[in-house]
Amino acid sequence: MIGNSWIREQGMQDALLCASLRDRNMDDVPLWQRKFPARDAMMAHWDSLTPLRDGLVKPEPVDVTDPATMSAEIKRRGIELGGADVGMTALKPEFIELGVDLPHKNVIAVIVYEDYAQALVGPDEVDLEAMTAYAKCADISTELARYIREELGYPAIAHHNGSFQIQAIPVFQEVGFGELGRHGSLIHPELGANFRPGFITTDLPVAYDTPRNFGIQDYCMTCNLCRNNCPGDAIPDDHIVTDGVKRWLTDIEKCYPISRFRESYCHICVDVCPYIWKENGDDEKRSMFRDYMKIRKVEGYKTPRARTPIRHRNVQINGATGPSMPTPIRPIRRRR
Amino acid sequence: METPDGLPFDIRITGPDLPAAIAPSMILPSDIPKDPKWRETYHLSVAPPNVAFEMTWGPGDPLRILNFSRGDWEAQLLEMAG
Repeated sequence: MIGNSWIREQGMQDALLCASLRDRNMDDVPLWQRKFPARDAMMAHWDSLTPLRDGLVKPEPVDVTDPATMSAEIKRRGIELGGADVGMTALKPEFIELGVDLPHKNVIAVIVYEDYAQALVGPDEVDLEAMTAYAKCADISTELARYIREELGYPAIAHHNGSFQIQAIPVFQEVGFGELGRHGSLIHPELGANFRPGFITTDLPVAYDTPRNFGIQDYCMTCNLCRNNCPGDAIPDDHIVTDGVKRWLTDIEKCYPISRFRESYCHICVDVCPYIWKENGDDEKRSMFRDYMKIRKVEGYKTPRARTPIRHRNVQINGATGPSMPTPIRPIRRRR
Repeated sequence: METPDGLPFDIRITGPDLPAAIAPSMILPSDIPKDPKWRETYHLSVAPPNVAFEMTWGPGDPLRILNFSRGDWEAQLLEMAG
């Protein structure tokens, strides 16, 4: 199956990134020059898994008489390995990178939760948490692909930051992980947008999950927290529509100066999203969210009016104004 | 410019006189870092209303796609083009 989805290249292979650097008379992305050993170790980890994405397939495949049972088993293994959710659907050309041939029938998505509490600690902690989640995704997708090939006897390739040819958001929607939010990330009812992905494409017969709608796109029409808190003013009012899905396309030229051309990681659009608690009713996360909103308010951004007193939890806040966030924040590292 | 149903739809092209044809090929991603300060002659962007498509090229140079997001705007563009 030949892919027809244009996927933005990462790093210096991204033509828009190069043009933005050129226009600023910059030669490289400062953040990528910065040494951050713990984070760099995570990146080295997923790179080390790249050669293991594919491999030999057991000659005699097991007979899958009940795809639903097989799906349940793959999901059980994915969760056991550290995934927060696992979903499956049929592979389609629009899920695959433009021009890439993936000779598989199905795609399995695995997501790993990023601990929201890190948003209240500091930019480096959020960066490290994100890269740790990416590394865990690489572990899980590599192991599931190996299991499918070597123990079940079906072709399978892992897709993770070490190398991927899958367009994440359309797959997420199709497997019912949630709905696309204004900030351009998918919002999961239990995890908000705080997760990272890995995928496996395979011929293993599995039962398919179905999309879920729980009102996020309608909520995003009026919430605007991410839009109002974006330091780069990169999240738009307007949206386009693709196959019935609203898509507020982030203005990447405005996003890059914040998310790439500084030495700290920016994850603000995700951290201000109320769906970290709104759908799952998690009181602790709601409390953290309110603490984070206090920080944003001190920084001068629009935040929701507090309706009940804010409860302080065992979350480290670095001083009254929060985690040393003079304006934008957090170290970014390219996905490769 | 507006779509047939009245939504904003912006198309912009910058550069000298419009060429008779655009570049016939697209740059390979692996070739982009070889000349990161490359400057385009022509720049086309389509914003229906967000920037959903943006590409650049120059005489004798392949296309570079800066942005591309599929959407209903593609059919609307064809309709407006007649």
